[in-house]
Amino acid sequence: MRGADRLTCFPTIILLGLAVLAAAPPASAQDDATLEEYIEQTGEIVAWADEQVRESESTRARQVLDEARHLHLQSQQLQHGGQGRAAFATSRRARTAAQQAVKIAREALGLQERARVRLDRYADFRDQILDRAREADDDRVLRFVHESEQQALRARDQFGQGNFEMALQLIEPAEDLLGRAARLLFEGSGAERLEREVERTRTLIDRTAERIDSGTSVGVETARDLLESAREALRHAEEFQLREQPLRALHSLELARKLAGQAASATGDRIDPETVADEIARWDDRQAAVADAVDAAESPQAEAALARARHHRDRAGRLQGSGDCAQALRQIKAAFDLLNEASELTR
Amino acid sequence: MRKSSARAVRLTAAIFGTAVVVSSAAPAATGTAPSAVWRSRISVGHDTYVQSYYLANSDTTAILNEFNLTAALDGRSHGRTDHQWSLRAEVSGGSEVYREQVDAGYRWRPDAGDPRLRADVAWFGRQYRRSSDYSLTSDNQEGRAGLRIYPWLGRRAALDLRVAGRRVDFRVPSTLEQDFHEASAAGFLASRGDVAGVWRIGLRAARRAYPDSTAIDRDTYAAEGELERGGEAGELWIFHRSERRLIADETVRPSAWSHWTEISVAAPAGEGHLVADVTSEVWRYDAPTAVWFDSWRADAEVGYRWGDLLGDLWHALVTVENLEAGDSPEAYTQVGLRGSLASYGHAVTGVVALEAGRRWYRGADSADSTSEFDVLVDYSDFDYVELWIMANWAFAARMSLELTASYQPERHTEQDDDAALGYASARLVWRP
Repeated sequence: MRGADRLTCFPTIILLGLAVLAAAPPASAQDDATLEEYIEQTGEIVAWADEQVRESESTRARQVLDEARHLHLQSQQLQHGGQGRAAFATSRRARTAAQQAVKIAREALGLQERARVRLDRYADFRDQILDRAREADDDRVLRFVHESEQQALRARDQFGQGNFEMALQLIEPAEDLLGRAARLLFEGSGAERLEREVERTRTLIDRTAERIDSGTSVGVETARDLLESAREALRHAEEFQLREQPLRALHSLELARKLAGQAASATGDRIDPETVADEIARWDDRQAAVADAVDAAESPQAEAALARARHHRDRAGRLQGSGDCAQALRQIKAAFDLLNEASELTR
Repeated sequence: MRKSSARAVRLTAAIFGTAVVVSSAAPAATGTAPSAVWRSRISVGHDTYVQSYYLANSDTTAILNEFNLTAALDGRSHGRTDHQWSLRAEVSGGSEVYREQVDAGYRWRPDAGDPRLRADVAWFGRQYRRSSDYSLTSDNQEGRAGLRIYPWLGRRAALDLRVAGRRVDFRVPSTLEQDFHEASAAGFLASRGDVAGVWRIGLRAARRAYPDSTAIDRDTYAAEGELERGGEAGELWIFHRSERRLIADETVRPSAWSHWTEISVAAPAGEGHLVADVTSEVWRYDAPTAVWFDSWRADAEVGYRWGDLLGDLWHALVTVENLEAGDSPEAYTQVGLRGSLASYGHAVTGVVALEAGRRWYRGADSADSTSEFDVLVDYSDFDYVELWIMANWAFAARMSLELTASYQPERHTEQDDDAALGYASARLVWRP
């Protein structure tokens, strides 16, 4: 292009440009209209959210919705102040908040109903357990019940505050604690089970005493002392049994067994193959009598217990053969326990 | 401090005093075969509640700390007598709220056998401090009273008839703090005597009235049953409740049916037990809306339990939860793994449970939306972890430390939806 042409062309371009600008609506006015429409629709979304949040009693949903309302108002003020870009950004945040409030509210409604039913159920369950716990007069059970009540109190507080998820999270362990109290009561309530446990503990103490009497190590005196404590704990257990306090009896039995175990360890005697062989022989003798009783009783549970007892006895024999006396002794103890169980089930 | 708070402080001091006096007198009474057993408890503790969520473009963590001092006195008749009673008073004062609780009970048990009559009353009060961080801070009180009679006792079953009343009053009622009165009646046929196998079936009816919002007054009618069996062959527990809820003004809130079922089974297997817990919860509304939608939530925990109830008890479980909610965007499926250890020692008792899993939302069907904006409600999938710790350490004959903590973070595919819920509590308890 030549230089003169360039000179005539430049003003023409300027004029054409001005003509185009004059013909089109001003860009800011169009943006204003779009922005106004956008903000109006945000207002509708906030109102729609309000309807749903009002149904829920969730305080969190209400807090988020309050934030949405605040942002919506702020976006309107920014728009009127001529700050279009900031108004748009704020309005978009108001929409997000409104949307989030609805999600929280709808989720909360489900949680609210669940929490309400769970709290009602808890009150019933607690009523059932508390009376039984008071009757059993067992410190541990009562402590579980009390801890559970404290947890439920916090759950109720959170429910009252509209924090349903937290309420559910707190009521679960409250139920769990009550369940544990119930299980302890249930376990302690079986007179037959208690009788078996007493017998098992007495046998363990007697066996330990036999081993200690034949022991020669320096720890024998200590072992005798521990065994005396085990006998004392067993006596306490029997007293609790007579006084119909099965849980206390079970705790004392647990202690007695622990002390007997410590007494056995205190002798420092190694478990010799003869001890294991004696125990296996004793089991075989007893098994013959129990097997007859199981046959006569035709009890599937007793047969199953006897089968499991034989399984442990066989494993004890194999372990003894391979020289692992400690494991063999454990197996034969398990076999004795199951044999006792089979015997009980025939009655 | 408000007048109510001052009253609560005086009441706390009174209970503290009584607790100490009664507990110091208790040993003497124990030595002379007392007709009553009294126990007192004083504890000091701190609770923290944490909620973390996304609030309009910024992460928000709401933390509420509550310190409190609690005194409790628990008394009851000793041994098996015809007339048994119990009384408990508990007061706590702290940084956020004062709480009071009194409950009393009476049982008539001819020849110290099964109860023939049972009466219970309870009252709870809460007064919030002016500086409280709780969202709802209207002082409130709640009273309950119940009477049960057992007009027929057979050899294996008993009839249990109940009436009860409940009233909740707020000092300054609001939309979320509404007074209500409730009256209820129930009749049950329940097993007796045989603790190894318990069953119960019955009907309940209740009427609740909200004086400031009569549109949501409601009547409920429910049928329920429960069965528990235990023994060497395994354990079984079944519970079911079907409830009809009628709302005074159906346009405000629709009436509904709900059905709640729980089944818990444990069967011996090897050294432990195979266990399964299943819960089903169904809601059917007469006129479902976007907010009150029909749903069926079912969850199951299946796994293995081993160990000793009086020692260490382990659980390894697979957890599954499913919510069917028609076209609602809330419908989801969740799968997780949970492991827990419960230890029951003489000095230390505790539970540690950890669960991790994922929830998948199925998304909304916009064709059936009731509003053009329903498409905005879209939940995002997330991975979750749930940690629970509870411990009780009796470090001295009359002192123990109770610790509870939980933390449940959710990591969503949409980062904006991330949330976390946490709770921690430490309490030092003295039983004088």
